[in-house]
Amino acid sequence: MMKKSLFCLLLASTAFSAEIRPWTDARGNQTQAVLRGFDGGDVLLQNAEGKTLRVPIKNLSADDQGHVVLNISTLIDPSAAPISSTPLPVSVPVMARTTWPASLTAPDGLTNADYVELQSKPGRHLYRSRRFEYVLHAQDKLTPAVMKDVARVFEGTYELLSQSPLGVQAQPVNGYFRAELYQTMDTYHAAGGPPGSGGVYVRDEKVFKVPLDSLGLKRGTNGYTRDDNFELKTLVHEITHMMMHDILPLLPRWLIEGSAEYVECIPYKSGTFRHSDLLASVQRYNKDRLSGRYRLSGPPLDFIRNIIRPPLARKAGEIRYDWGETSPVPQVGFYHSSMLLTYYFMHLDGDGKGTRLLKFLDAIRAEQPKHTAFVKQFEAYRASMDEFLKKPEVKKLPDGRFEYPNYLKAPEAPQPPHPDYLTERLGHIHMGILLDGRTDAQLQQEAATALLKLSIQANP
Amino acid sequence: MRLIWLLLITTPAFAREWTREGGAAMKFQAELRGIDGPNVLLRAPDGRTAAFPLAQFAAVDRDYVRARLPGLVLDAMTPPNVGQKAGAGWGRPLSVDPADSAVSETSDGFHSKHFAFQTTEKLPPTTQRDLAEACEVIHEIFRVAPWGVLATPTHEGHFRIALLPQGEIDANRNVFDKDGTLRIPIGAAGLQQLGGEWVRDERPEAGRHLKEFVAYMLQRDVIGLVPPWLPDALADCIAEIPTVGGTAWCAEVPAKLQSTAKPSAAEVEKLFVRGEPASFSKEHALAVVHGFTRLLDGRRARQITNMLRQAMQDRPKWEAFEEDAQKYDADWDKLKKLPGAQKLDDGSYRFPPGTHVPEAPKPPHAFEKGDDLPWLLLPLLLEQKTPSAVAAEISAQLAK
Repeated sequence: MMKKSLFCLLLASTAFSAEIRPWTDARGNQTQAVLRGFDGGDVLLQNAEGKTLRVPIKNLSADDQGHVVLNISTLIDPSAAPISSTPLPVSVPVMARTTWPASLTAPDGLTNADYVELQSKPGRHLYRSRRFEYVLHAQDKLTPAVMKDVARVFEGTYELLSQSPLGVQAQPVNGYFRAELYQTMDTYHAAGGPPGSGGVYVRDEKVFKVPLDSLGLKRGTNGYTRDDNFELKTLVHEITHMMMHDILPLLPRWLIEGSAEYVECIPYKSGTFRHSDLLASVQRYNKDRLSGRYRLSGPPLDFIRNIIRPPLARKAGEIRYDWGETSPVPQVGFYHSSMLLTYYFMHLDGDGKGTRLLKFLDAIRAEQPKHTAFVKQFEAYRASMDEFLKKPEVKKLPDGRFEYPNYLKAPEAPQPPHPDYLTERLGHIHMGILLDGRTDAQLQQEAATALLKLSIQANP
Repeated sequence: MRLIWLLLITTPAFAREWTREGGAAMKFQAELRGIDGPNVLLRAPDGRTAAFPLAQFAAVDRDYVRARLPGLVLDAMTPPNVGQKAGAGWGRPLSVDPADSAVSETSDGFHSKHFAFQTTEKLPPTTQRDLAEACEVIHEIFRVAPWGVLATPTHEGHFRIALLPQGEIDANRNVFDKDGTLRIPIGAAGLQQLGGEWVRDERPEAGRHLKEFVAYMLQRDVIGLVPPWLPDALADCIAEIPTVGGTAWCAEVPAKLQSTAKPSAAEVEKLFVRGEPASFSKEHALAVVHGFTRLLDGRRARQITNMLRQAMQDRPKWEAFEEDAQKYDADWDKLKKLPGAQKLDDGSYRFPPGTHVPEAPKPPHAFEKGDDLPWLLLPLLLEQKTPSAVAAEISAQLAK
C-alpha cells in the first residue's frame, strides 16, 4: 500500500450498519442476519458468512415483518449524494470471525464467476462482478476466461476475509469497490502507480490500480489472454488492504503489510483458498526469502523488535516518516518480518488461538468510529482555518506564526480522543493489548522460539 | 366490501419516470420492486427487471424509494391484528379494517367509518382512501388503547375534518371550530399536488401534522379535565407512532425521545405541580406520557387510564353541572329582585318565609375555582404517592 498526504484523511462514510438480529421463520427456525433489502415479496437478509438469504415476508414472524416495514427505509440514506461524491453507506456490518475457514471454494454467486460487461470501447472497458467494478484502460478487452479469473480472485478474497479474523471493514463507493487495470506500465505510472510496484491500493481514492503486466497477460486475437507468467495471486495483497480500508489508519504498519502478506501466502488455485495448507506455504516463503535475491535483506527475526517499535514522535515540519527511506529495515525484509510476526500472533502467541490479536482487532474496530468522527472534525477545522488565514487582517510572521487583531477569533482545533491521534504513532495506541505486559525483547524471544519450532528459522 | 375489493385490484402497478444522473444518464419508466443493499430493483413496463445503484438517481427518486419502501413491504404481507379487542393495549401492532377506510361521497366531501371530510377540492378516490386510512389508524390506536377513544363524534356519528384550500388559513384562528370540526390546510394533511391532482405525499414526515391534530381531536372530551400538558403530549406521542398505511406499531419508543436527553426526576415533578400554563417543556411532557403509557404498568397503563377514563365519565357530569349552575345563578338573580328580599351586612340574603330557595348544584368533584378543574384528577395519576416519588420512578424507567 502506498501512502500519501501528510495526514491520512479518509472520509469513511457515516457508516450506517444495520443490526444483526435473530430472524424466525414460520417453522420456528432461527438465523442471525442483517436486513439487506426487499424484492417483490421477499426479504433479503445477509448472514454473518456474507451469504444472502431470500425469505418470503409472509414466512417471517410477526415481529420480523414489523421490523422490515419499519427499518427498510433506513437502509437508504436520504443524504446520500449522487455518484462519485460521497460513498453510499451500505448495510453490511463488519464481518469477521475468530478463525479461518480451512478451505473456501467458489463463494456464493461465484460458481460461474459472474461478471457483466457494462461498456466496451477501445481504450475503456467496464466490468462488474457482485461487489467490484473493474475499469480496464486498454485497447482490447480481456478474454472472458481471464476476466472470470480476475473477478474470482477479487470476490474470493472478499469472501475469505469476511470469514476471517481480519474481517471486512470497508464501504464500497456507490455500491462497488473499484479496480483500475492498465494496459501498460507507462499508463499505470501516469495514473499514479509508484515506480517499481506491481499494483497499489490508493487509500485516499479508495481505488485499486494494477498494470496488466504484473498479472502475466499478453495481447491475443480475442483480447488479453494468459501468458506463461499468468499469476493473479499478486492481487490478493492489495485486495486485502482494500477490504481493511476503514481501520488502516489505526493499525501499525507491520500489521497492515503483514496481514496482506499473510493472506497472499494462503495457497490459492482456481477459486479455492486452502488455509489448511498455510503452514507449508509460510515455511516455503521463509526459505525462499532467506536464499536467492532476497538474501541480502538479512535474516528477518532480528527485526521483529524494530518493526513493532512505534515510530518516534516527530516535531512539526519534519519530513514524513517512511519505512522504506528511514528505517534500518529494507522494504523486503520489512514485509517478510511483518508477515512472520502476523503469523505468530495469529497462530502461535499465547494460547495459540490468536486471542490477543483478536482482542486487539476488536479494540481497533471500536476505535474506528471515534477516529472517523475526529477526522471529520479536523477537516472542518482545517477548512475554517484556511478561511481564517485568508482574511486581510491576518498576517503571517517570518517564524511561521500568525498575527491577528483580537477582535478576530481563530478557529479552535478539535481535541483528539488520544494524544497520538495526529502523529505517526496512531497505529500503536492499542499495542499494549498485543504486548500484554511483555517487553519488545521478550516478545522477540518468544516469537523466535515459537517460529523455530515450526522450522521457520532465522540465521540459517 | 365490494368497493374495497375493487380498489385493491385496480390499484395499478405504479410505473413512474426515473431519472438516472450517474453512469449513462437517462430517463425511463419503471416500477419499484425493492432494494438490495445500495441498489434499487426496478421492473420495466415490458417485465424486464434490473438493479441499479440508487446513488445514480436524482434526489427525488431516492426520496421516493425511501418513502415508498415500507408500503411496498406492507402490501406484500398480511396486515397484522386487524380489529383487535377495544382496550387490548399497545403491545402488538394494529391494523385498521380496510372496510373502515372505504369512503363514500357526500354532498360536501366524503366520509369513512369515523370521519367526515369536508372539501371543495376534487380528490381522486385513491387519495380519499389514503386520507381516510391515515385518520382511521389514529382512531384505531385510541380504540385499542386501554383508555379508548376520548371524544364523542360531533357530526352524525363522525368526526369532521375540513380541508381548507392553501390560501384560506387564518393563523390566529383555532384549528378546531366551536362545533368540533378540525380545520386544516389541505397541504398539511399529508397531501401534495402532482400534475394538478392531490395525491398522498409519500415522505414519512409528511403526514405528521394530520396525525397530531387527529390525535388531539380524539381527546376532545377530556381536555380541560386533565393537566394541560397531557393532551398535547399524548397527541405528540401518538403522532410519533410509526404508521404505514393502516398499520401502526404502537410499542415503538418515540423516535423523538431517542435523540433528546431524558428528563430528571425534578423535571418530571414540575409537570405534577400546578404552574403557569406554559411552564412545561414539550419534550419532557412527551417523555412522561411515554412513561405512563408504556413503561410504568406495561400495556395496561393503569394510572393514566384511570385518570383519562374518569375524565371521560366526568365530562357529561360537568356539563350537567354547568347547566345547573347557570340555572341556579339565574334563579338567584330573580330571587334577589323579589320585593321582600333583603341584603344583610355579611352579604347573605333574607327572603320572606315560604320563598323557595334553590339548592346549589353539586359538582362531580369539589373545587374552588374554575382553574382547578384540570388538576382535580391528578391523584388518580399519582395513586396516593407523592409527586416526587412518581417523578423518581418515571425518570428511572426512562433512563433504562
